[in-house]
Amino acid sequence: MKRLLSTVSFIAVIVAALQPATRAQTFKVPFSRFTLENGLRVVLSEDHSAPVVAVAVYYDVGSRNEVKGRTGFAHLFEHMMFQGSENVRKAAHFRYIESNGGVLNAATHSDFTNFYEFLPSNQLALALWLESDRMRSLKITAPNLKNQRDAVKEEKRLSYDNQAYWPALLKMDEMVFSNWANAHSTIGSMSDLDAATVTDVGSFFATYYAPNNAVLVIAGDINTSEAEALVRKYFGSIPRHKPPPQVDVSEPFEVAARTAAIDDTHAQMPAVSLAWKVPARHSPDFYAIAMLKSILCDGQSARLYQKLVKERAVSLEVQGTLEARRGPGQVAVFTIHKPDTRSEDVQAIVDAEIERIKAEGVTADELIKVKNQYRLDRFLAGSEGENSSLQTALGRALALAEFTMFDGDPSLINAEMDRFLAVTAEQVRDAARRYLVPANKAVLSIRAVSGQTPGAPQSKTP
Amino acid sequence: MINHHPNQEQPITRARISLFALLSLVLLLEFLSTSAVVGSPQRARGKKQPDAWRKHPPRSDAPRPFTLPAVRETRFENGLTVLFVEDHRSPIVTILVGMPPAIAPSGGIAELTSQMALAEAAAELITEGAGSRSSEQLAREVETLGGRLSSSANDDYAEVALSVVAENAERMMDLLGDVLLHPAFPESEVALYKRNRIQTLVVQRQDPAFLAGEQFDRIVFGSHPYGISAPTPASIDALDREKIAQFYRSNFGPGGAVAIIVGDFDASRMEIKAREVLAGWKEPQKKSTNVREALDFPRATERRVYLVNRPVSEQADFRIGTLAVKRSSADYFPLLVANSILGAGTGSRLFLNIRERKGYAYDVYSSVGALREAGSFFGGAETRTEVTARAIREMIAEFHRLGAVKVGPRELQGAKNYLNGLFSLSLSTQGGVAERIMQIHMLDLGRDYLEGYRSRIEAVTAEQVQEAARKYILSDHPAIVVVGDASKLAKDLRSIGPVDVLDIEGKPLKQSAPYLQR
Repeated sequence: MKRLLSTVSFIAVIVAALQPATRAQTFKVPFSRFTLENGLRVVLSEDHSAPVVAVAVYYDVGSRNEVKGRTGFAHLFEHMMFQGSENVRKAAHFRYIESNGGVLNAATHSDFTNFYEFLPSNQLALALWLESDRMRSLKITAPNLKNQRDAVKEEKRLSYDNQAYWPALLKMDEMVFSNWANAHSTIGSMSDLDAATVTDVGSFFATYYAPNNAVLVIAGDINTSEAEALVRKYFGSIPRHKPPPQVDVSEPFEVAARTAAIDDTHAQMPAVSLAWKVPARHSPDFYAIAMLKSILCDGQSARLYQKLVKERAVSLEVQGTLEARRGPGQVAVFTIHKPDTRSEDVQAIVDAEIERIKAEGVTADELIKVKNQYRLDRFLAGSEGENSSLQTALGRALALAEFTMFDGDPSLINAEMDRFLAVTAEQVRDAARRYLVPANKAVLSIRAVSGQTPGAPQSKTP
Repeated sequence: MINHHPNQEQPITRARISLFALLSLVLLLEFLSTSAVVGSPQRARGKKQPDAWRKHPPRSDAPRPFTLPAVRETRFENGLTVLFVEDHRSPIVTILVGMPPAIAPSGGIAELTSQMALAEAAAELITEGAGSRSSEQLAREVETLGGRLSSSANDDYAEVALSVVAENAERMMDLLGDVLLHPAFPESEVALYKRNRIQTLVVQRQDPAFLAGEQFDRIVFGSHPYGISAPTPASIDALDREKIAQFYRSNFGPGGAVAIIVGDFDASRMEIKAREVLAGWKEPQKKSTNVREALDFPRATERRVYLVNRPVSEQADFRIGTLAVKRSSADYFPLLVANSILGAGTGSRLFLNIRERKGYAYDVYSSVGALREAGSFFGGAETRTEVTARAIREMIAEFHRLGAVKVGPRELQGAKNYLNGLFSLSLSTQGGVAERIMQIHMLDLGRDYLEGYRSRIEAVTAEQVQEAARKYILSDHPAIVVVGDASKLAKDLRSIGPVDVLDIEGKPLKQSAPYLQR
């Protein structure tokens, strides 16, 4: 009886999922847009559900724009944006926002750098004053550069050098990408950070931190016409700069290196990372690859979780990522496995599952499942979890800015989900056949040598 | 555990626990005016300072009104409290179920550890098969509904957390009912859990932040359950299906439990569904009581350094702190404001001094961890080995300054604004609303907690901040935990206090190497 009931409800679920206009699909983010004479692209999204406002400024520059000998510079520069401008003292940005009830952050990616403030809506002008002052008049001093270089070096130690698996995972990028612009790390090297000068900071600012190379989004409890007037007041007089040089991020189809092994002095459990190079976000195959990755890796019913953690019980956890870059990106599987299992055996299980998809395709049920997961994730999975998902004004500002800068089309905040929902089982199978092939696969075995001398001879894994 | 995105993102400041959970404020730094200024772009055109209006920050209008979510509360006959918050901003539903206690009354450390192992196993295994569904079937069905389901145990309660796209919320309720009322604890899942948990213990101890937190709690909370961060291999090994099922039956029932349902639904309809699914949940005959015997916390008599040796560390993680207050204490709000001034957020004293002035760290903070029965205060940072002792001294000096000098009105008001701002922002999400309401019930915060939060923050005076700093921050005998390479750190740290060198499980290391000798 119980079994019958559960089968019935399962069928009902499928019917519900296929209905054309469920509530989750009618959710719409309103917006309007304009461009200032200096080239600053602006998007406003009015919503009075809470007395808060988010301001996001995106600059079209990331670590891919760095030059050799200056890895980590785009990120170091991001820190310098908090070191004062004509009318704002060093680090005063933090105090202005927080003492008025807001939060802030900034982040440097391979292909963009963003800054945001999320604060009570009566403080909108404060955020615009701060963002415009540093866009027009950043102050750069040698002591501040030294101070932030020290902070960033501690960040590198904290986030990478002192953690298990992270140093190895940085190496993955060098295995996947041939083009230096894509392959080098955003955090950079200690010696390159040391080499950065005040002159470098000045010329990076002049080249990339220009209104014509930026997108500004304001979302939340605003009056659209008042907000537009404020934007014109604060940003309108900032001069346009010469357009920055374009960076070549093109890649050959195949990965740069297919296999490698690395000793991890912080790890006590071995791990393996497998990655395949994939086309840019929003390219025709991208959506099918996203579905493929989710079918393999996302959630406890995912194929690789079931195989590696449950059925064969060789792994402790499995994580899949799809790096959605504006140029070639990567899809990767990372798994921490048990010391008594060889890396090759873990890899063989992953390979077999992928071959099965290439031969048999994926099921209609699996596809419905991952599509429903994408519909949920819009509201849960921002870069800072739920707090930067579409549930919040902050999440809506970040998403609008990305779509505007990357795609020139903020309406994708509402329309992109349809592209995920349109993927067919055949497209998923074809994406596996096209991209998950040996020439395009990089595999890194991570040996756990915690407590041992680095480089000491190891058994078991290659 | 590890986000496989090495090249994606370098934030200016690490989002801790949750963006809105901790952080805060204020201190003017002199601008280094002697330094040459280069790289400034050309100023806006015009003759006589057309941008003079930019000199000062703009004045703000009055804040717009902030409305708290409307909560509808009911109690079922089995003792379960159910709260409904209709929130139609996003087309999803979020459900939290909290069940106290996670750990039964006190005993020795070994007994507590085995209780903890049981509580953790029971909480985690209820989603590994329930009703007629296997673990895999349950996961597949949850995910097919556009849902996410997890369960865990913390220091004070066990929690089941669930999110789902709005139109499938009622179907998810059926699965939630199975998980709570009919967990199966399949033999094979218990066996796998035991094997894996012994190995994830090892993975946890790879992480220096885990080691620092574990050692700190061990010193501050001693033999109270809060002093135990993880079970031991022996306590995991001793688990079996029968013990876990028995523990679940006798500890987790509807009495005292709270279900919070937030999101895009009709509350009357949802109440009918909640009743259908959860009203039949039976209270166990012999439920463990939630009352613990007299609390026994260690009393520090000296300033001592506990150095957890993690060889080849690139950095040292440290924490400095003491036993503080439980969440329902009257001193909680003054301490929260004091902490906000000191080390919550990028505008705080610790951040501006130790990072922005000294460059000793990327991440530097202080934190109030206030639980149901007790709490702690600590400051912490991750620093390069050469400056670790200096950074510790600098932090202790900031602790002293907060106790010695009364905070000025602007800095105080800024800290209050920050805390109240975080409070408002945290209610932007369904999860944030549910979490706040859960804390009211699980940590004994009083029914008017949400309504009164902002005015309680506003009421804190400079004198209260100073008093809180003296009582809970400026301890003469703080516990100082450092995780790093002992061979490089021990000598410097001895200038701060006597140093105990420990292995990563907290056991004293043999005094063989020269650097380990006192």
